[in-house]
Amino acid sequence: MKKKSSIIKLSIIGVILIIGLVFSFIPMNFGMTTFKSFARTIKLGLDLKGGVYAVYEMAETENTSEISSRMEGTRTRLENLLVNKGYTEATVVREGDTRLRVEVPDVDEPSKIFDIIGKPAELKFVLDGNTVLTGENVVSAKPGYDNESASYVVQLSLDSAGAAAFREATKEENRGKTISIITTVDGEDTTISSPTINDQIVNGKAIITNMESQEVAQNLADQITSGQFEVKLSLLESSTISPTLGERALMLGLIAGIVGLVLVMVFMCIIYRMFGGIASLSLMLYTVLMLFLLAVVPGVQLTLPGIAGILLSIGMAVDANVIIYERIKEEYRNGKSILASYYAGFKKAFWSIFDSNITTIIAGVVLYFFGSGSVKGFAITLLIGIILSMFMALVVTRGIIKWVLHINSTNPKLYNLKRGKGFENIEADKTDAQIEERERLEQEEKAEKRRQKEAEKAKKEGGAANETV
Amino acid sequence: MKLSNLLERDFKIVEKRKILYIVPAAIVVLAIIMGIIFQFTLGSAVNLGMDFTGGYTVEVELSTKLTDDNYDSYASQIEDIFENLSDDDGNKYGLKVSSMQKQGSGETAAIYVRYQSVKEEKGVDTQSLMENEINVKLIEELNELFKITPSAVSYDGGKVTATYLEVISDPVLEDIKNNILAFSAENSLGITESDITRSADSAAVVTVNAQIAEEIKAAFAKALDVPEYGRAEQGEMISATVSNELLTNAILAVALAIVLMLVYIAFRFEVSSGVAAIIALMHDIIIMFAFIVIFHIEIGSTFIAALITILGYSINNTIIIFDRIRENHKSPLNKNLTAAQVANRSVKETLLRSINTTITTLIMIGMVAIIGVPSIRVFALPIIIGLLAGTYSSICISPSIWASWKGYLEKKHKKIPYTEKAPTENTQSN
Repeated sequence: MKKKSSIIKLSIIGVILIIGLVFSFIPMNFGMTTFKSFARTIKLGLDLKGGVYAVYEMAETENTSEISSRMEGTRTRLENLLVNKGYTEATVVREGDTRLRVEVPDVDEPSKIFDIIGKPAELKFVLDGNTVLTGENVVSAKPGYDNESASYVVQLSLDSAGAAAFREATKEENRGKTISIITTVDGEDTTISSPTINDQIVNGKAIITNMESQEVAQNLADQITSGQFEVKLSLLESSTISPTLGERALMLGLIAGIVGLVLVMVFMCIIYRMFGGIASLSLMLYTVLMLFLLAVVPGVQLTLPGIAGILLSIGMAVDANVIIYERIKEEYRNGKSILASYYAGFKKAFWSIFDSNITTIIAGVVLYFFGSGSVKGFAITLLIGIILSMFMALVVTRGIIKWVLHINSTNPKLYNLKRGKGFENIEADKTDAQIEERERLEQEEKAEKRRQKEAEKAKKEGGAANETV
Repeated sequence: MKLSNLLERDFKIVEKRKILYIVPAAIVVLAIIMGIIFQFTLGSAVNLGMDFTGGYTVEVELSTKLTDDNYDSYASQIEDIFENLSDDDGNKYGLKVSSMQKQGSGETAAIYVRYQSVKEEKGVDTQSLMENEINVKLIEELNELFKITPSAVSYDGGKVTATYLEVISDPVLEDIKNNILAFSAENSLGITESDITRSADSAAVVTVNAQIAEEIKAAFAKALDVPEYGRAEQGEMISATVSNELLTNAILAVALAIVLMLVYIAFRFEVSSGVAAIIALMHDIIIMFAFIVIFHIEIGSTFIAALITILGYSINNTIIIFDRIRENHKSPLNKNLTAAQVANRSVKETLLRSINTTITTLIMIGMVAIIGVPSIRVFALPIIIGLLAGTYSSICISPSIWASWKGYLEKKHKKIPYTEKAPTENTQSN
């Protein structure tokens, strides 16, 4: 029975892997829509795919005092703006004294972002003809959705001076008056909204409501952000740029990955035989899932070092397998049956794998939240790799080993297992009857618990239904 | 000796720790010495790339002449000019292209080249050298590249035949005509447009019906040159791509990550394990730096990525061994063992795992280094060093630090007498 169901489960895994491989690498047409393969959907960095560039020049009206430090400040803000939009691999460099050169990899509509940055919006909040707040008081502007007004909004967080001014403006006496929120783009004033003061706002947060769409909110937020730049910029030129390394580098990287992967699988099969086969299966699954996640997780822009990092993470994903198999070998050496060795070995390996991965995840999370630019981007890739490899080792590989052992757990040679001194004559499946009995009991216990839960749930729902009547 | 034999023997990692500590110490000392030598001979101890230093740019405007097909040939010609640029005495400046990109399309198509300043030298104003001499020469030579010059000019009585290396297109012919007519007007030669024809047999040959006096032949030949639709233009100086902010943030983030990892390890294991793991981590990163300094490898923004990768790898490696130490230390079977013996046994029990994992990771990153393009090698090499350092520190350094710490505590509390020369342990607990 078990043997049969295990074969079925393994076949399912095999089919999933094949489907995954097909979807990862082969583009397909479904009727009218073309489905790009996952590997092709992954966003690539400037070195591999190129992108677009723009040169901004300081507006002529700017005075030039302390220009160097102000340009540097603008450079930093512009870089942060791009990272917030998900372009972690974008670069901003100063060109001469009064220009900034921005390069953004792999974008769909470059003109959009560049235009917005080149058209900074000056912001002011006006009450009774007096300006209470300007864009200079804004620490950050982000798009959002406000449930109360059921509209898209721009959320502003204010600096301490701005917060104090806003608190003063929204005080009790002014209740019922309106505040006009006015933006100035290219010298043209637009009153975006004129909310009525209902409550005193003390937390230094202001929102601009009634944006038509998420996109409009995002654009205004970007314009307000660029309105705070120390130096006002105007777009000088923008166009496409080719990759610095290009297709060849990408191809060679992929070839290196495939050759490396095959060699690792061969190595594992030689050292651990059937277990090596299992490791190879889970490695391929890992690779397919990794490609899938890289394609769907936002903020991933793969550069050549990123690819090398992923290849390394494949090497490291094997680590969990090695740890588990070495443990199983050790347990078997000391006289346990194959199945018993698997249970004991996995149990002991579990915390080892868990702790080492959690520690690395801590590092990844910190680098993601506190790093800037490309460090942030690299941290995302690192995190995807570790979390996935942990999941593969502790859930998927575990399942696969179990199923394989259900098919054959009597032949130690198949798994390259050897008895240690003094245990040579113990049968490979000596205690299996006991383990199977325990497994059966565990299964029954689980089933019993599930039944109980369902019964309770049914009871509750029945009760709830009664109450509403 | 077979590996299995090695595993049967006793391990004395902790006892031999002083020797094992010397290896990385020696590497660091060597790096310091090399750093000092490079500081004096090459001007800087570390070789910082364009990502960190910024530099100059040149825009080679080729307009519609530039296509995806001929980009590579233009790129390699430009690279040659940079690398072979030399002063009046024929000494190469040692200029190197940092990156090249095709920029724009159609009329605005150009090749955008970034390059670093020549290395600082004592007593030389590098900036002035770059701006007043090298860049000027560079632009001159680049512009030479985009000139269409006849490979042979023959004067046969009243007919001049100019043979070019490439086909003369209509607009180029137009330029040649204009050049010659201007020259004719200057020297009153009376050449008219109908005198200038492109040969019917070969589109690369242009004939001019004119009598050219010997003394103006050289000047006339110049008129046959046409600047191709290419022009090199000096761009502005550009700043570093890796900003100070990114670096400061990265350093702060790494510091915070280390503190939090220390807290986690202290919570799940022991404070001593946490400290030992962090020392191992520092060791790996320092060794990577030392390697970079010793071989004067250029540090680019990819090096930051390499450091982060090793940060994750190193801690992973150390934790696996500490997990075994935790298990062996707690086990009632081992209650008579000293800390040193526990550490030795744990290293031994996890050794096969350490070796196999190092092999698989080395296979993957090694392939990248062997097959990949040069710029990826710059990334892969420090990682390989980091991997080896990580394996070394997790086997030879961090367990010993833990054992020394524990041993010190044990001695202090007189729980178990700790001796340097522990009795030979019984390796099989069953």
